Amino acid sequence: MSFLTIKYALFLFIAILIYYIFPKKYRWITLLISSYIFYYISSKFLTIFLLISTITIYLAGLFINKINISEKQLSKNIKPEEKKQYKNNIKKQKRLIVLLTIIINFGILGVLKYSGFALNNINHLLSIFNTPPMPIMTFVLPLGISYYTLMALSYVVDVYRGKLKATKNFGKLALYLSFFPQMIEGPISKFDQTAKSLYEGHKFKIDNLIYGISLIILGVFKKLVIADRAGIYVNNIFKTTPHGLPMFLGAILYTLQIYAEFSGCMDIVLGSGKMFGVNLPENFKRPFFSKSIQEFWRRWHITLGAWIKDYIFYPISLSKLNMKTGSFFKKHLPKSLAKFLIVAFPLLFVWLYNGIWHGASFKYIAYGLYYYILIMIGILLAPLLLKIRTKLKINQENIIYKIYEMLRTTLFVVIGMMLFRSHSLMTFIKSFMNLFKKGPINIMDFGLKPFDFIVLIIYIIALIIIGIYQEKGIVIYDKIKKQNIFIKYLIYFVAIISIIILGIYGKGYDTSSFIYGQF
Amino acid sequence: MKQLIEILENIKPGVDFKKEKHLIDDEIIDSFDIVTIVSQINEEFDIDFPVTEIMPENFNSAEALYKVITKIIND
Repeated sequence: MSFLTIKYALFLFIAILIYYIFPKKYRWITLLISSYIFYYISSKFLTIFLLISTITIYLAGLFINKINISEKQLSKNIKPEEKKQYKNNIKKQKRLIVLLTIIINFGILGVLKYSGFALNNINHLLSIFNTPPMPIMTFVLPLGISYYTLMALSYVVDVYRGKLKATKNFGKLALYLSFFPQMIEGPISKFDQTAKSLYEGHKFKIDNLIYGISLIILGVFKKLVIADRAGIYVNNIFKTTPHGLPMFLGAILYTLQIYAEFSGCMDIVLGSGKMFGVNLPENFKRPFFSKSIQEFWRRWHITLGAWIKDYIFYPISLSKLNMKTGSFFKKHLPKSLAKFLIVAFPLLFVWLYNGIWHGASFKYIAYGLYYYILIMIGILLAPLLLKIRTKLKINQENIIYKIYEMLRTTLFVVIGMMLFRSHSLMTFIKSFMNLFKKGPINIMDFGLKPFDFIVLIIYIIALIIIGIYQEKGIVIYDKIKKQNIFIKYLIYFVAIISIIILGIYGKGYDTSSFIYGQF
Repeated sequence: MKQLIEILENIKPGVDFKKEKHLIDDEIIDSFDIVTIVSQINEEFDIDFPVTEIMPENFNSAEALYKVITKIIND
């Protein structure tokens, strides 16, 4: 069920109505039932995979809880010299449970999402040795599997780490994993970020309803007016890969498209949640104001970055192997080089995972490695750049310097997006080379009229102005709320009319599904 | 505590670690710094800093970090 359908609007309306009709105590149950109906309508029998994930993490949590309780009781009667051995045994048992849960959940994701890609490559290798190929099976992906699998594993690992106490209520855990606004593009929330808000029977507040509707209007505007408009040019450009400026503009507009679309979808998700009083974590924080690639990834798809940091980066970084090699480097190498090498190994996994999470293709692996290389070069060059800045007396706090850093970061991101959008790694290389070749500056030949460019330029300018205010800590919604009733409703009226008039509809320009929904 | 402040100042010069209470929230130190800090702490205090203790609240100030180190040593 797409967010941009009357069906979804109706579904949301009924779900909200039922939620507030029921007594507070039972409201979470109505959310659970709505979520499973939503999932079943969208995925039919594939709902079984969501249930398997829920059952495995539920049981894993309970087992770990049981071990923890018996550990507390038994450890009092154990001799001090045997305590270490006992603790190690307990740790091993808990690790085994976590490992099994990871294997089952990542196993399902792996088979459904990556087996076609893996078998294709194996067959390619087999053909070299004239061996008959293996049959390739392709699977339909259950809705949101890439998102809810990460949420499921974060729950089990956090219970294992002692950050969470496992829940005994299966229904509540099922709701955490299936809350319907989150099932299309996330956010990948952690249990302690959303669970309390989901289970609490929220009082009906008109403010929540208006704020939720405002966010949904904003999201629909971003998708229909901006993303789908930019998408017309982008689709034509990436089909023909022209030379010079038109190609570069295509890469910029794709960056704009994916930002407007993904952040717009998040607005709809957060807005839908807010109407039930549920607060979901933000996924975007003005990413194009980032002064470095690291900062960009702290502001873009925040919940994925946070997940990878907590469950891949830190465990590998702090592993005994990495710590030992780190101390060796520190003793024998210059400080800056040692700092580089201690993160080089874990970051390789971080970016390989980031790449492959997006899809089963060498293009996505290259996308991850592209950022890995950029970050590694950044760390290596940091001391040199510091020396240059000191010598040239450049103040890093200077606004011109900050703008330069933001533009530099955006340029690298635009190139990354070009790779992300290209059909394959080879077509990216071709498109990238085309950037430097001379060609006709025929930007009007790719489906957009001057008026469309004006709409997109106005949006970019608005994005920058609003971003500057938000960077200063000003909440735009609060500002609108404080306006008198006439101005307030005029803003909503203009927004809705803009969507109706400026939105991209009709034959040939059908509202495409959300790009991040396919991951 | 003095030993910890020295480690932190060595890794991130120019920060007043005795006063600063929002090292993570204000993005004064990042995840790369945390890994370098933990690696140094492991060596100097002869401990294995567990990944379970990597929480923003444990790295927001030198004081909070010192409390965690003491807890790990006592465990």
